[in-house]
Amino acid sequence: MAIKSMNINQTMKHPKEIAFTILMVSWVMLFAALFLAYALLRFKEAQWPPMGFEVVSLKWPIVSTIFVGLSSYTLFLFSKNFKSNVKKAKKYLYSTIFLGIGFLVSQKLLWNEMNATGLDVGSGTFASIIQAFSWVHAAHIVMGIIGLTWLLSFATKSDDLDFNFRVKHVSKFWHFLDIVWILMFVTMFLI
Amino acid sequence: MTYAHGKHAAPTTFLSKYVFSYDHKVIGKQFLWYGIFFLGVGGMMALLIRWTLAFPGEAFPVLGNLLFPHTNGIVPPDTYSMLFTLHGTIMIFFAITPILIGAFGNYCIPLMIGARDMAFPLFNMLSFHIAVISGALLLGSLFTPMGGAAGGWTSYPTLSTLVGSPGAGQTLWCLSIFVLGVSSTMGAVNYITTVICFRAPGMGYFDMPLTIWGLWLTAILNAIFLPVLGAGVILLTFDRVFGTTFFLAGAAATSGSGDPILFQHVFWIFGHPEVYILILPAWGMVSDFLSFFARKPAFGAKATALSMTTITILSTLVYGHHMFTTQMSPLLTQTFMTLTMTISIPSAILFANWLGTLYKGSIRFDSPMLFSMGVVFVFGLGGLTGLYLGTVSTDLYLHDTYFVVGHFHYTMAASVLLGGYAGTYFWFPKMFGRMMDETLAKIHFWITMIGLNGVFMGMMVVGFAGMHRRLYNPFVYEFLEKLIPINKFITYSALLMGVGQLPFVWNFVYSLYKGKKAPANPWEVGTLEWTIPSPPIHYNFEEIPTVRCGPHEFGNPKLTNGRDFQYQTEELVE
Repeated sequence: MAIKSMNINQTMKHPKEIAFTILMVSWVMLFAALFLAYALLRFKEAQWPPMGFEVVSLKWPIVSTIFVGLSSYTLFLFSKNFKSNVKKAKKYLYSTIFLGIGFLVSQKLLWNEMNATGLDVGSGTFASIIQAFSWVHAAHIVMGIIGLTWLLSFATKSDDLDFNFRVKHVSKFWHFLDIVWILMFVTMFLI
Repeated sequence: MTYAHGKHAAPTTFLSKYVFSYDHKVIGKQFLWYGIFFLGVGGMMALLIRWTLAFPGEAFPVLGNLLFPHTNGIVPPDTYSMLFTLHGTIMIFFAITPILIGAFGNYCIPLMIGARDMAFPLFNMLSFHIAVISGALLLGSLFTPMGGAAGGWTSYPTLSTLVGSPGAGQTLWCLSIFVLGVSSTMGAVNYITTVICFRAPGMGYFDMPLTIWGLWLTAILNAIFLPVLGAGVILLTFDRVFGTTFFLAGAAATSGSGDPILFQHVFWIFGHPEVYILILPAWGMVSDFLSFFARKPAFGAKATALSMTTITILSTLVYGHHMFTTQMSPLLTQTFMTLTMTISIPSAILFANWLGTLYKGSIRFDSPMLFSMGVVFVFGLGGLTGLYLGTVSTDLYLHDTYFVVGHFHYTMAASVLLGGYAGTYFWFPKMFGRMMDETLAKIHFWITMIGLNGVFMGMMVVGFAGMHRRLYNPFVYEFLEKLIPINKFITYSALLMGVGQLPFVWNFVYSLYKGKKAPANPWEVGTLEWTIPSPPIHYNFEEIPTVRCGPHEFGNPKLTNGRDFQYQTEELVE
């Protein structure tokens, strides 16, 4: 039997876009649940950080924020350029990947510092939520970096429709993780 | 706009055809086998639980000495906890979910909306294989040194923390649920996209069979709320493995104590939608079957679909009614109670529409219809008893008694089980190209119906009398001693129900090989899957059909072609 292409009716959106939107909803819910847990634990305490705990030094969180913010910017530039300017785009993509890895390193240093100053996960909910939340986030950053390396073959595929979706969706995911980190940074380290 | 979809060719080898298949029909059947296997495992656990409650301190017959050699065949207390935990987990996540959502979702969605396959076949295949990994993790946990999880299917801390249940069992339980969540989310993304994008030309949302409505709404709830449970079990795993203190309170937490109630919040934000995740596919199927076998258009089909949608939305707002006894503020309990009660309105519309469909129909009592009417009966009971639990004042007394167990078994176990059987008997001819035996099916129905009502009605009675759930031997309390006879009755009913499944197993296996060859449309129904041969060819439809009328066009007096129904591909006769 000849396999005919399937007819899409009643929608102008490509199935991959719809599917990715649903996936993003799932991820939003995952992080929303973690924020809910954080909010409940925080409001239960009379003060935050709880009695006897020092605030975490802002050094590594600020470094992380700079890395992840810059990486979002370079990824944006990559998605602007990957069709027109291969050389530039390559530079931007590699920068994004390196900034992503830099983010992971700064996170590891943050955890080390917290552990060294007595804020290890077993010390109470204050350290637990900061560390566990950033573990989950970092695990997604690892997924994001895998997604970014999946884009490395862009030079030969920039006209391929599927590849264009790939760029769009990996970018959306990466920017989403950027936003989550900034929310974490503001709620956990600044206020 | 066309989309090159499903480029895979017909498979030729055993592995590509039955194991690593991209075909939604095969994946549906894989989920069916998977679900039926776990249904058996969970059912055996139920019998062990029932035996312990009816005959405390007596050896389990036949298998007892084999299973529990150290206690001379008596179910030990810690094993009892593990049994009711895994019975709940297995039935909900590994039996109902794969059968109702995995099997019927995969099998029916493309066929009933006139598509050649799911939107993402590879994703679909992975969804099943990830589910297998999850099942392996759970079964594997039984063989760890301290046994499987034993903190109840809800896994409330502190029972589920290292303080309450040391050992690897509970950790594996968390991982298993997380992995299954990934699998179900992948399935849900696929179902939602397929329904949105691949309905046959001419099929609007209200031309979809109500089965598809149910499965679609279920998938939406799954995609939104499974990640919340995912977050909960991740945190619980961290507590257990890395020593975080989210759910530890009091002396167990060294300082800055965590909150065991936090887990309940996260669990029930997912858990209440989960109740509807499980029942919506059954509602959809029953709404269709009642019309198909009453030979009448579904009464208020649009209102039924909209009621299901309303219930879906409301189900996300009521989770607090599971937590009335957690010292919640009265303002909150009353809010949750009121929101819970509003669900009665769309439920009543839905229920009235079922009765309206049956009213003055020329009913054919084929097995799918018997099971569907069974669902109407047991769901009515389950829904009504829910009102007592949604009301704060009565719930304070009934909370965590067997009344709750009876109630949720009526809604989730009885309704969904009967709905699943209705679907199995209905689509078996399409799935395997052979008919199941009607006489055996009817015997199966009546034994199951009598058995399950005995079990679950009995549970509500003992619950009302004050019997607490999850007690190893409730009869150490003097006021419960008088309940031993009725517990024996429940256990005999459960045994009857267990025996009643044998005709089904025999019927299923026998019909698979020796059943009467099924015609393309044995039930004389007009939805798209019955316009093609049984079993369908690879890629389902030679030509993508064009839909011209709704799914429930029965008994139109103007029909002149000798049939009392219309196919969805035919122009509506007016």
